[in-house]
Amino acid sequence: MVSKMILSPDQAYLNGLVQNDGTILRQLYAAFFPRISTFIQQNQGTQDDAQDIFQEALMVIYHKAKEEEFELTSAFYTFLYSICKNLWLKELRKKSREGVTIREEMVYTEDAEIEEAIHRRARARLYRQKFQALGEDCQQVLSMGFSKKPMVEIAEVMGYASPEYARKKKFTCKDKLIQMIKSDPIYQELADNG
Amino acid sequence: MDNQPSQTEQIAAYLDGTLSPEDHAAFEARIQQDTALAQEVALHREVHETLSDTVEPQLEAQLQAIGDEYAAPAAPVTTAPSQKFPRWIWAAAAAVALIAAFFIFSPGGSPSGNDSEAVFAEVFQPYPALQTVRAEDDSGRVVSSIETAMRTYEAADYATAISQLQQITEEDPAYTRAQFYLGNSYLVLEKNDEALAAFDAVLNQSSNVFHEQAAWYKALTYWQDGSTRRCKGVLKDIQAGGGSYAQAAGSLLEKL
Repeated sequence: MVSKMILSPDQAYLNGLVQNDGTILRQLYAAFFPRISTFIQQNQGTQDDAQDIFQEALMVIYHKAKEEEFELTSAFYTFLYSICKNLWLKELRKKSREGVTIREEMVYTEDAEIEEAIHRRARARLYRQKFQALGEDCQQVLSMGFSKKPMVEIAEVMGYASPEYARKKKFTCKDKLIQMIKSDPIYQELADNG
Repeated sequence: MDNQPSQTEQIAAYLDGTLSPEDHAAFEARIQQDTALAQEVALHREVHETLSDTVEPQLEAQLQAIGDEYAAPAAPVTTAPSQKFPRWIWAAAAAVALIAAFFIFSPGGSPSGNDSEAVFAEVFQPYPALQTVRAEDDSGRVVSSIETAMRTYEAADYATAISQLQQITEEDPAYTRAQFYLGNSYLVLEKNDEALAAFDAVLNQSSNVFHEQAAWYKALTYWQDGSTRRCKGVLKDIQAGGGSYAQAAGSLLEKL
């Protein structure tokens, strides 16, 4: 018998996200977007809102799926729907300050795992945003550092006098990045709610 | 620039695993006692993980592009050759492409007899549970009972799905949708004879949307059962048909 390693569709969706597989991503859209779109549009959203929420939810799942210990304990769609619902509620709450009323049936269901997953993705966005705000030199040095390039090579590429200078530069840039992240109110908000 | 390592350098050395065993243990002890340091280390680790990840920005861009395609006026549902099938058929078409892609683009080349199992695992996955979006399906049947069975199937509870699908097919043996998923459920549970009977029930209906899929899964059932010759026979028919599975069938024939 040869079916010991059957890949379920739900697992295929997770793999497709982690591997950025266009075929599977298109299937994900075809299978699930219409339902999510209906849900968003029935709850004061537009088609564009639905696109944004759907894509963001998939990015949240991407982060979860990369975790070694992650196991899908519900159907993929159930997980996706829960994340979309929570993301959309957050949006509605923001909008409620602008006069939008949240319908009673959109009751918020607290789920620590989903909340943390949403926060993890939000932190990743913040880190990339701050990285983009660094000077070009710092971005280059840190990128090479993240790729584990040796200091000799970094010094050569950047035209620095020595590998030691490249090392110091790398840590100066990293300090700067960390400070920029920590001083952003969004980081504080995420840390407080984490 | 002084010679004392900064906290950032110490954290980097700790995370890179370049501290001596003694220093590593001492640093871990500090983390245990100092919450602020522990948070700092966690932040550095997460920043490193995020910015080392080259897939995330690519995935984001690709999802955006697919979303744009989906929102475009020339989306597949409007350019379809026919409007007579319900919307879920486009998900079925995507699933065909998915299964074919798993096979065609999977690494590893031709399997020897020893890695046939691994290749089978790559090729085979139960057909996705496609959603019914109308009160009746394309043959006019009420879908409430099939919806229940599909939810069970989607939850990978194949044994229960079999019993639910059987109730439907007993009432209406010509209901191809139920027969098709019944076949898939049996195939997962390695009940090959029953799977073949269900797929044949689909194939015996002259025209239905699961025809080619049923043939593909019938071929896989023969393969699972060790009947390579019969598997090849079905694959040749699929290839000759020139449909959505033709390329995948040709690739599998070459490998077999």
